[in-house]
Amino acid sequence: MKEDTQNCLWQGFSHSKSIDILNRKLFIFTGKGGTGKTSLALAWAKYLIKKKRKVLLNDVGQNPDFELRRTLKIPYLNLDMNSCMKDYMAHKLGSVIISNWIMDTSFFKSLFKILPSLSYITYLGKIIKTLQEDQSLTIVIDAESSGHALAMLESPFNFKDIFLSGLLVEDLHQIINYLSDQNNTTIFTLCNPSNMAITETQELISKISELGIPEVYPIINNSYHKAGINNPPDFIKKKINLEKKSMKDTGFQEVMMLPHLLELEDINIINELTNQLREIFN
Amino acid sequence: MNSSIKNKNIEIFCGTGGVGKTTLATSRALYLSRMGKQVLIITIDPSKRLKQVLDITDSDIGKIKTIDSNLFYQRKNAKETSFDALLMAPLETLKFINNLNNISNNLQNPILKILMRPSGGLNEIMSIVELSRHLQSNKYDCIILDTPPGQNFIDFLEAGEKIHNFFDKSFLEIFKKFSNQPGHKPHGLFSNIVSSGINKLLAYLEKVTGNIFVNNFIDAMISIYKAKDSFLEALSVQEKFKTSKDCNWFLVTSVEQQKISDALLLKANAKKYINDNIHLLVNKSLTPFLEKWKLEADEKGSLLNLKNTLSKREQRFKDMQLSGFKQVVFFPEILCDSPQQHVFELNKAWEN
Repeated sequence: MKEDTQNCLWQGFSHSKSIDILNRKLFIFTGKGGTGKTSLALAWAKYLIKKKRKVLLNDVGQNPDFELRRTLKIPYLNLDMNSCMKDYMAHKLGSVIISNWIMDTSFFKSLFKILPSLSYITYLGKIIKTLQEDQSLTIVIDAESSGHALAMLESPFNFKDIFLSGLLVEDLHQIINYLSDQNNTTIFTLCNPSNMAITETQELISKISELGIPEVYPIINNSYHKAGINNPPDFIKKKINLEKKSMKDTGFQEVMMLPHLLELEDINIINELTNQLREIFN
Repeated sequence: MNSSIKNKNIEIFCGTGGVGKTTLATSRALYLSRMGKQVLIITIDPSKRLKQVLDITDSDIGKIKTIDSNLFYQRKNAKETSFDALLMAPLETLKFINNLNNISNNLQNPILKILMRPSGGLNEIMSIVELSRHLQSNKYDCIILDTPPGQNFIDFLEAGEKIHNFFDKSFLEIFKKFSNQPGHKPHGLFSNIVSSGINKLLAYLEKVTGNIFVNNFIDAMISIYKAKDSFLEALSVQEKFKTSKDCNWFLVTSVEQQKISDALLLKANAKKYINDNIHLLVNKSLTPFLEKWKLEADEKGSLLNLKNTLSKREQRFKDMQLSGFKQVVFFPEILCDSPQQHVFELNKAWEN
């Protein structure tokens, strides 16, 4: 068993690099659907809390399980897109009344609905402002799956040439700077150990990197190979061989891996993941 | 048993992410084409990998491509059939709409460019335009629609409402004001707004975003408005979603993921837009393997735990027979690494 956890180590990363990563302020979890983003984001938040860090968790476009979070005692940053935009407009226009009025008109409602990028920008802006106001704070975002997370991350970059003037332009650059600063932001992209999932993740990572966001790390989750099953039946052996072949074929071998967990309940999965993270980063 | 799923004019695959919607939808297309049907499959959120699976190049995206069934067979002596595939590219759909409505010169507009990006906001609406267009051509017995995951599927269903609201009230004043002005220039538009009620709102918007954004935004909205008829006509297809005569719904889940409550939530949220002809497809089932796996009678350790855990995961889905689905169908996990072979093996599962 000890040998298996050794295998989980983040290959190619030195101890000091792991410590560097732990010191980031903003962690964003994305990746292919159904790869365990939410569980790992919760486990990550819990792990940081155990290290005495002040952590808030937030999610974009999810249906969060609030009870699970209460059980895990993970504090939640209450932020929905709508309130972000109202706050933002109020701040910029210097009036809550005007902001509430215009944001309730069908014109503005439709504007934000038709251009989701605008909502993403105000959301990221609010997250970053919260972090800048409290230097001791860390935020963990449980983001949407690949395509939509990319749409969120690229929105400030896409709009920077359109907002050449106006009150927003400075904020836009602040968001871009924060995301591009590897001392602040780390993005984790999760995938399962299959050919299709790994290819999609590689594509996502290169697109995020092209934006100029430097610190993006893949994580392969749900690996049967890493589950350390002794003398497994043939179909599990086959799965393990397929995993190995996928990683070899895609050249995706030196990445962090987490085992498939033989648990049925979310809470047990998250607790076990937290243990795994402690093994990797301590 | 599964052959009792009669094919309909429209078949829609939905579900949470990573459950294998696209592969299952493709296997359905292959299966129906082998049954002699003319089939088109439309994928709204195509991944790079899907292009590889279907042997589609970047320049084919947004266009109909005929897929030869031989692509999926290991042996070449099988009876040859084919089906059509369309990987959505909203920009191509926009060009089609522009042509239809004699709209020119909007492809450089930065707001439209953002809207046309993947997940940019108009993908779902554009896919309904494509669906409607190909239904009207009467070329196909069946159009299969592979929708984006989770909440984005609800966005797809709400596309109609969104576009209706859009044309009904929100921007009507802008349209009234500008859409009849021939050859308006993008800059300086804003200064033309004098008395309309919208001017105050636009003034606030300009204060925050700057006037370049406001001008581009008005231009983008006007060019969408000019294509109003194409959009509204396409929306009539959504009525068909509600009748079980025209439309099959396949909610896809996976034993691997155990997202049962997410699947049920999706079903509940979709209820008002769709009919109750919903089939639950449970993908990546290990039951066939577990049944064959005989443990030693005295096995007590980790292997027993493995077998029990995997069996319990299967059982949770078997219990869903009672959750108001027309049918619950299990598809086995395919243990091979070729995606074409996945499609081929799953295609067999539709028939027995």
